[in-house]
Amino acid sequence: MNKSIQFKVGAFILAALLTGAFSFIYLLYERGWFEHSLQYTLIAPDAENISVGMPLVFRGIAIGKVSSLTLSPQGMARIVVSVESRQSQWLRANSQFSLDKPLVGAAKIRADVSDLSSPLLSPDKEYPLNQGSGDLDIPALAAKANAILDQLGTVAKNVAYMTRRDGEINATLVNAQAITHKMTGKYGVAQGLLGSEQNAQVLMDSLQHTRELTANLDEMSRKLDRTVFDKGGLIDNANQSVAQLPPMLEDIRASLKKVDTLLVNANGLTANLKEGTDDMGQLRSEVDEALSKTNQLITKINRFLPAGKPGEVKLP
Amino acid sequence: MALLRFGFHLLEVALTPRTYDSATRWIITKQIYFTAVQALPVFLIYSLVISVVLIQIMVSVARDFGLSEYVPGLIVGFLLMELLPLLSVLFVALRSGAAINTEIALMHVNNEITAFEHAQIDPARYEYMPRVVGGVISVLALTGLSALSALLVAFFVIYGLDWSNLGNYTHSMAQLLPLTLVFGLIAKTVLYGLCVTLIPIKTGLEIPKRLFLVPVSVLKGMMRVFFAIVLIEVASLTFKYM
Repeated sequence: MNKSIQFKVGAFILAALLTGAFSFIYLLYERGWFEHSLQYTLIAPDAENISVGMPLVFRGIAIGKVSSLTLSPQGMARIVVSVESRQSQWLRANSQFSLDKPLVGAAKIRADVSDLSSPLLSPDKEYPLNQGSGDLDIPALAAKANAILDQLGTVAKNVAYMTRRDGEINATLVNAQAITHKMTGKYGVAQGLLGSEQNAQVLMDSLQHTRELTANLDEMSRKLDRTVFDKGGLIDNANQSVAQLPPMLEDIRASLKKVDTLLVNANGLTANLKEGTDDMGQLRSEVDEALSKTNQLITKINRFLPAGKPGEVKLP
Repeated sequence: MALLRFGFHLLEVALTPRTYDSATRWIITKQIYFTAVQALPVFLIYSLVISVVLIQIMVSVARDFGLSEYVPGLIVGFLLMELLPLLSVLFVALRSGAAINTEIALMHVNNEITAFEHAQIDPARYEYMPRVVGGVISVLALTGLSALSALLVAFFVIYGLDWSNLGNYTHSMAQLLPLTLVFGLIAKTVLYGLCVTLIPIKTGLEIPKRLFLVPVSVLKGMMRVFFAIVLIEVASLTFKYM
C-alpha cells in the first residue's frame, strides 16, 4: 500500500512537473526569449494611439512589437520596434510603416514591402511612420453612411416599383418578347419592325414589283438599243419625235435613281434597323410613287416604240 | 490576523530544511495522494467536459458574430485564468478541505493535539504543515493539468484534427500569455491552495472541545474557505484589469 501510494504520488508529481516545465520552456521559446531580437527605430510626428506592446504586423501576421516610446532630439516621437531575428527578413529598406487603426479593435503598426529583393532594413537608421488620416470621425462617418443608406433605400424602392407586377419594365420586356417572336416569324426582322405579317407582306410585294420593274426596264433598254441605234432605226431616220426622247430618258434615269435608293434603303433595313424604322413610311410611299411613275413611263415609251416592227413608226 | 500569524508560523516550519524527515514526507505524500492523485481521473474528466462545452460555445458564438479572432483571447482570459483555477480550487475545497477540517476538529476535540504537545512533538510540523504543503502542490498540479488539457482541447475544437495548425496555434497562444500573467496565475493558485488548507485547519482548532461542535466547525470552515476564494478571485480580477 505504502509503496503503491508513494509510486503513484511520485509519478504524478513528476508528470506534473515535467509537463509544467516543458510548457513553461516552450512558452518562453515561443515568446522569443531564446531568440536574438533586432531593434528598429520609427519616427512619427506624435505617438498618439501607439503604445508599448502594440504589434507590428506584416501581411496580417505579428512579427514584432513596440518595445519603447521616447522623444527624439528633434521633438518627434521615437518608436522602437523589436523584431525577432528570424522575422527580420520581411523588413526591407523600402518598407513602408503605417499606423493601422481599425474602427473596432486594437490599433497596430503595419509594415508593407513592395520589393522583397531590396536590402534588409537597417537597425541603425530611422524610418518614418505614416499615421494615415488621423482619427476617424465616427459621427461624421455614420452620418455619411446614413445618407448613402437612405439613397440606397430610395433606389431599392424605385427598383421594386419598376419591377412590380404589371410594371413598365415588365410590359417592355413583354413587348420585346413579342417583337423578337415576330422577328423569328415568316418575314423575319421586317415583320418585327413593321408590326404585322400584313405590313411585311406589303413591303415584300413592293420589292417584288421593283424587281419586275427592273426586268421591264432592262427589256426596254434592249428594245431601245435595237430601235434607236440599229440600222434603219430612229437615229437613222432622225425626226422631231425623237427629239422627245432625251427628256424621257432623263425621267427614266431619275426614276431609276429613286428605285436605286429604294433598293439601297431596303438593303439598309436589315443592316441598320433604327434608320430602317424611321424611313419606313416615307420609303413605302416613295416606292409606290416611283413604281407608278415608271410604269406610266414605260407605257408611254411602249406607245412610242415600234413593237419589233421599225416600219410602223410614223414619221412626219 | 490570527490566520495570518498561523500561516506565517507554518511557513516558517515549512522553510526549515530539517522539518522534512521521513515522517513529514510520508504525510505530504499521503495528502497529495488523497487530494490530487485519487481524484485526478474524475477531476480531469470534469474539467475537460466543462472546457469542451465552453470552448465550443465561445467558438460558435464568436463565428456567428464574426469575432473569431477574439476566441483565443477569451479562452486564455476567461477559461485559463479564471474559471479553471476556480473550479479546481472548489473541487479540492469540497473534497479535501472539508476532510482536513473534520480531521483536525476531531483531533482537537479528542485532545490528540494536546497529547502531541505533551510529547514534545510539534503538531505544526507533523500535522498542519504537511497538509498545507500537500494541498498547495495538489491545487497547483490540478490547475496546471486542467489548463494544459483545456488548451489542447481548444486546439481540437478550433482546428479539428489537423496537426499542421499546431505550430500556428501554440504561437498565437504563447503571444497571449505574457510571463506576468503566468506568474500571476501561479501566485493566485498558491493562494487558493493555502486558503483551502489553512482555513480548515485553523477553524478545526478554534472550536470548544465538544464533539457535537465538529459539524459546526466544518460548516464554518467551508463558508470561510468560500469567502476567501471569492475574495482572492475578485482581488485578482481587480488587480488585472485596473
